[in-house]
This record gives sequence, structure tokens and C-alpha cells, in this order.
Amino acid sequence: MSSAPASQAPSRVLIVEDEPSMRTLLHKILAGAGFAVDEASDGMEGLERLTRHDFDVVLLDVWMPRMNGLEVLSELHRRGSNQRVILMTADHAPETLLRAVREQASLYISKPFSSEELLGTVRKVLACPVQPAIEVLSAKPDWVQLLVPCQPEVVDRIQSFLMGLDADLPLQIRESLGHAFHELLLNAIEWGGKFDPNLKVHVACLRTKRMILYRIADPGAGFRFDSLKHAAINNPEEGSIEHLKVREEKGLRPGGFGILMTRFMVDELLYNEKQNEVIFIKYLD
Amino acid sequence: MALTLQVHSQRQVTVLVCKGTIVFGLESDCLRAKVKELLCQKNSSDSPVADPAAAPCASFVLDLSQVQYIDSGGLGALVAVLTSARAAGGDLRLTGMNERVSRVLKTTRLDRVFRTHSSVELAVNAFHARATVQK
Repeated sequence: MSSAPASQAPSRVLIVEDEPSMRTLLHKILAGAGFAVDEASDGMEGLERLTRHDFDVVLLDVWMPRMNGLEVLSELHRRGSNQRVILMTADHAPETLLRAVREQASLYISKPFSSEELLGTVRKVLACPVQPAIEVLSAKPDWVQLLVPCQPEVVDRIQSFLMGLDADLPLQIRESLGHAFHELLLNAIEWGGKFDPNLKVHVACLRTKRMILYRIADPGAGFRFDSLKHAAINNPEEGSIEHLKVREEKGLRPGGFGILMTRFMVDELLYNEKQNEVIFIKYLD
Repeated sequence: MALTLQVHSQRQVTVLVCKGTIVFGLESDCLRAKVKELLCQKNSSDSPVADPAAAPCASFVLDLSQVQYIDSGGLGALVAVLTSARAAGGDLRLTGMNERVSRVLKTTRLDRVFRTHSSVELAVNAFHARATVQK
């Protein structure tokens, strides 16, 4: 899982960052990993570079003089560009993150980050050649509503932004929410949406002083728990991997632990009658 | 975070040091493919002319001390690796799980399926203890 095989041209990365020492450090890490790296010292210069040259991914700081990162994203969006952009920021303000989602940022990486996190994020974005579009229906910090295509690549992307909104919460709560969201959104996209990019999943996140609630509604026909023989939730007490035999017979990938895991991570887990919509809640007090 | 794998042999046991996350998609596929490749190497080196000391082994230790998280797909990959190792006459042992990974194994009751050890050395020793008993 390296940046690129030796025979291929290296992926091109543009760093847009006003802090010279940060720019130098990022350049060194990325060049050391085999990427072809270019730099710009603010949003205006970054946009000029993007107009004249092609880059596989842009590492974009948010707060910069002349033109900030969010303005760069807006301009790229206005031009109809599919440029893959990783937003780097220490600013966890909900307004910043939600605007980044609305302007189709690929991923968000929270400063400070390690070189491994940086390279992992860049490689993850590069592994997804076409960036699925996310529609923002509501971008209020306490009421976020999104419409996402049924593509597995969107899971990490949305997770990175939504978990950024919970940056003020204790680590264990953030992790539980993140992992539960990851499992249930992936289930919705895989089972409800059959990985069809033309189908959409509704995602809502409501936040109050005392709880965080997520709702995930998929376009599928739903299911019945007692028919989920391929899921660990229906395993007998003495057989932890019975369901994997069923999955193998059906030609399904190994897995099926998602609902069982989620039950232990959240305080409430509710399905509607058809079971193509799920709500989970984590209480904060 | 992507998954990187480093492989080395320790007293005829194949140790895979995992770094990153083991999750649905590229990461799970990468782990399964690597074990499959190692098992293929083992099979091709089973001929009489091969050097037995250099042959890869179906006894695996997964060092998870640098793994932040394993999701449902990643757990499935771990079970698939276990199944492949056992089918090839070997086994799989886990070591170095952080609290988060241990909790996931416990909630899914996979702590009853995998043999776990507190260090790579102990996991490797366990294979040899087993071999001694079997003799």
C-alpha cells in the first residue's frame, strides 16, 4: 500500500499553507514517501497553481491571508472542479467543517497530525479516483442532514467531518459514536443501497445538550432480524462465528459483526418497522 | 488510516506486524492477500529441494500493538486468516491488542475463538510448546 508503484509516475500533491515551517515539513514528508510535491503560500497562489497545473490531491490549510481555504474550496466548487482536497485545520468550529462538506472537501485532517496520519489520509483519498458528491440538506451544527450516494468511499469521508463536530466530547464517546456510525452507514450503503452510486442514503445528526442522535435511512426494502442468518447478532451463545458459514455459502465477504458491535457502543438502537431506517443515541449525562 | 504490514519469521513462526486500522475495503483485502501469498509460498517450498529453514510457515502471529481499530469487515478478515491458517495445518495467534480492540473482540465473543497473548515472544513460544506436546 505505497504511494505508487515504481513504474508509475508519482502522484502530484499541492500544499497550500501559509506557515513556512509547516509547508517545509509537509513537503519533506510527502517527497520522502515518493510524491511529487509543489507548494503555494496562500489560497490565491494555490488557486493560480490549480488553474495552470493538474494535481492529484491538494492539502489545503483553512486560515490563510488573501484567500482562505474555504474560499478556495468554494471557487473550485463553483468551477465544477472534481479536485480532491484534504482540509487541514485546528479549527473544529462546526461552521468550518460543515462548509467544507458543502463545498465537497474530500477529507478533513485535524492539526496537529503525525506523518503516518498524513500519508494514510493522502493515500486514502488517492485510492478513490472519483469523488462521490455529498448533498448537504441542513448544515446547522445541532441539525446536520446529508444525502449521500451508496459508495463505500463516502463512509470515511462523512465520518471524518461528523466526528470533527464532536471534538469537544470525551474520547470514548467520540470513538463509540464514530464506530457505530461507520458500521451502520456501511450496512446501509452495502445492503440497502447495494453499492449503487445512483441510490442515496439519508444521514441526520441531531445534537442536544444531553444527547447525540443519528438517523440513517437507506433506499432498500429493509430486512427482518430473524432472517439475518449471515449476521453475528443471530449466532447462538456458544457459536461466535456460526454466521460466517452462511456468509461463505452465500458468497458474501467475511464480516457480519456490525450490528452486534453497535449494540454495545450506543445507548439506544432503534429500527423502524421495515428496518431500512435506524436511529442510534448516545446520552451525554 | 491505511494498513501496512511487515513480515518476519521468528523460530519458524510467521509474524505479521500490522500498523494502522483493519477495516472493510483495502485494509482487510490487503491482510487476507498477504496471508494467502505467504501460504502459497509455503506450498511451493514444500518440495524436497527447498531449504526447510527458509520455508514460510502456516503458523502465524498477528502483532496488533500498532492497530488502532478493527471494524466488522476487519474482524471477518481475521477469522478468514485463522481459517486459512488452520486449513494449511497451522494456526493464528493474536498479540498486542489495545483496549479498544480487546473490547471489540469481547463484545463479538471472538475472544473465545482467537488465542491471544501479551507479547509476540509468548505467542511464538506457545506454538513451540504445542509442537512439543504433539511430538
